[in-house]
Amino acid sequence: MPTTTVPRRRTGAALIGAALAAVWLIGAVVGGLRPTVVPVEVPAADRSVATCEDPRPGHVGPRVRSGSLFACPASFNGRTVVVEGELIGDVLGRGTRRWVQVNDDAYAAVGPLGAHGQTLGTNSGVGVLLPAGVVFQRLGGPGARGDVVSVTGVFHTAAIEDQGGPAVIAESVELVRAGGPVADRDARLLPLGTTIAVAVAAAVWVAVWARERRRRG
Amino acid sequence: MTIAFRPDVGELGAIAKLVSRVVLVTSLAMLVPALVGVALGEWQSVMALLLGAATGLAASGIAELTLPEVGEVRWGQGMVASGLAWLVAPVFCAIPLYVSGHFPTFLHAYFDAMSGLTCAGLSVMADLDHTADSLNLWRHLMQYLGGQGIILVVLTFFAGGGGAVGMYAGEAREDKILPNVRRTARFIWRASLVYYVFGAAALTAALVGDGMAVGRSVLHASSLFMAAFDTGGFAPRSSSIGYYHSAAVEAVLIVLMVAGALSFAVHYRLWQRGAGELLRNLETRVLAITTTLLGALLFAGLVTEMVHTDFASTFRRGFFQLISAHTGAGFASVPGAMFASSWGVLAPAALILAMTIGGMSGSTTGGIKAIRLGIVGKVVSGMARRQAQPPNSHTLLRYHHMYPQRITTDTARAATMILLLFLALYFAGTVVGLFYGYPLEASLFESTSAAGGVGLSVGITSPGMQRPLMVTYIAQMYLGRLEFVSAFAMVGYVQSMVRAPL
Repeated sequence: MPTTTVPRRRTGAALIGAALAAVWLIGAVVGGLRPTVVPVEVPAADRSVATCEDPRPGHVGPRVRSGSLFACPASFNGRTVVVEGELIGDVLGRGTRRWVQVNDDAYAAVGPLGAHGQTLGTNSGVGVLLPAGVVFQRLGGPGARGDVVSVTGVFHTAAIEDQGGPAVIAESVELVRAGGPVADRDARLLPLGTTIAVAVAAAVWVAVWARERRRRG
Repeated sequence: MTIAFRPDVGELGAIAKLVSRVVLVTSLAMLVPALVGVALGEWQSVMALLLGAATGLAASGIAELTLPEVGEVRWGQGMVASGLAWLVAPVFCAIPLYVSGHFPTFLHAYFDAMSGLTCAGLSVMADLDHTADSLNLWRHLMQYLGGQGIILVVLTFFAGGGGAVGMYAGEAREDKILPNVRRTARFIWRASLVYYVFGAAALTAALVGDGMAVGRSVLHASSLFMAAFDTGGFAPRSSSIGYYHSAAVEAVLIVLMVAGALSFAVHYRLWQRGAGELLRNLETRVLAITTTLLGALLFAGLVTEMVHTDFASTFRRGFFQLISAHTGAGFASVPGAMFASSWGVLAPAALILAMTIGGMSGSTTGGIKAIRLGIVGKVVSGMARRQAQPPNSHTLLRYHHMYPQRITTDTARAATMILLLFLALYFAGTVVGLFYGYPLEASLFESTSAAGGVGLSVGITSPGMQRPLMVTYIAQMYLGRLEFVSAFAMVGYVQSMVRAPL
């Protein structure tokens, strides 16, 4: 019968502790390699923007955020609203009018995360059916900040044009701020850290390969 | 099934080595999006991916050098290795995510890595819409690896024997499609790649038809395929499938999600031109019944709430969400917040029930699984029938799953136990959500979505969510994906280590 070496409690606890410490260390080391953060100031909440608590029932065309449109759609369904945000991704669709995503999140206000590095929550926005013939060149995406536009249109909880999806059917779109390319932030330590990690990995696997060769004679 | 926990140093070494091989394969996988990043000139993302890959490769290489050779691995060791691998692999998968700066803490990045690998699809990523395409591809590739089974990936290249079977089963797979695990693993990959070719081509055609540039269409189509077929639910854009405003894209995704919800054993039978299996199989029957009943419930909810004005809209939005929830994919064609704000009570309840059940065993879906529901249903109906029979009569319960099978006491007990454990898991997450002040309906929805590996969200999951709740959802995604057994085996190992003599 083969003999076994059962680890003692101290050894077991030490192994578990070492594993947790290794995870912490990985997090700490790679955290230090992240691109530097450039502090930005998020504009304070605009009091003129309609909310679920204050949907401005008598006011035609209130400015509203997508979050409110989805949180209390009944308050805005069928009403003319104004949405201001960044054009994102692609202009899609098959007819004369095209769909575009308009994000009115913090990144629309202060620029993409890649530009400053501050995490300001998830994206939020609404699908907009553009008026026929309206074309925008600068759409937000990887390495690019899209045009910021002001869209005036009718919000529908279940737009017929989208076969039941929530959307703003735009009547007019105005350019508020032109977008453009976004440069990568300073990440001086990242190339160095990556090079060291690649070199270590290569050295280790060369050693593994050499050992296998020796074994095979 | 009894698993003996007698961890000795040799066993721990063998387990560590098996885990390191999972890390090796996931690290190598990072090189694929890194190459895409090179082609797109996304240098910071490339460096982040290379850093993650190199760290994982270095760790697995050190394990290869220092740990003894793995001989014959026992079933229990395979189980523990499987349970541990699903905790360790996300650590390395999270490195490029964290370095990208899109996650405030390493825990946030780990959450998304776990969500990706377990195919849950919940995300706490900040500013997804400006993320580098290569990093976005990595998120979806994680779902492909996880959906296929990261253990399965390893088994394709390494390991055999009893430990291989233990690792395979530890990943919540029961069907042995071909005589040995390695051939089974290879069949699963072959089938998936064939689906990829057709699925991605169909999605690319739909996206190009909708006006997207060809190059971007290929990237989006590849990502969407991985998330749909592996029922993962990540999407390249924050507004999920609603972003595309495309019935064609939704139609292709429905086919892929359903294909993903079928077990690979059924796929094998279909490949062998045995379509009759679909009609006889207990799981397909259960899924047909639950889809019909829950569909009726969902449409009744949408109609009574007057969410849409016409049948086409109700059908398109309702059916897509039902399939997305039932298969555990978790795509959304309407913003998640609207499930709570405008879909009333019945329709979200139908979605919660669909998420609870999931798809077929041996598929990429999460949840209780249709076979367990079917077995428990047959046992309950058998008990009811027995009441009407003479006292000494004996009722034989049978079902068809690839071949005719008998429901034994063990089968019934195992199915009931897992069903109850899933219900407890859904309940536990709901309680933690309630503790942090979220409403019951939202807490239940999010908890079920996490534990069932679905990914639909009513908004609780966000970068600002409470850390303990985040950890709870991580645990739910992990336990739900592994269906408890290998995780319990690992806990047993750890417990016996810390309870050993001083």
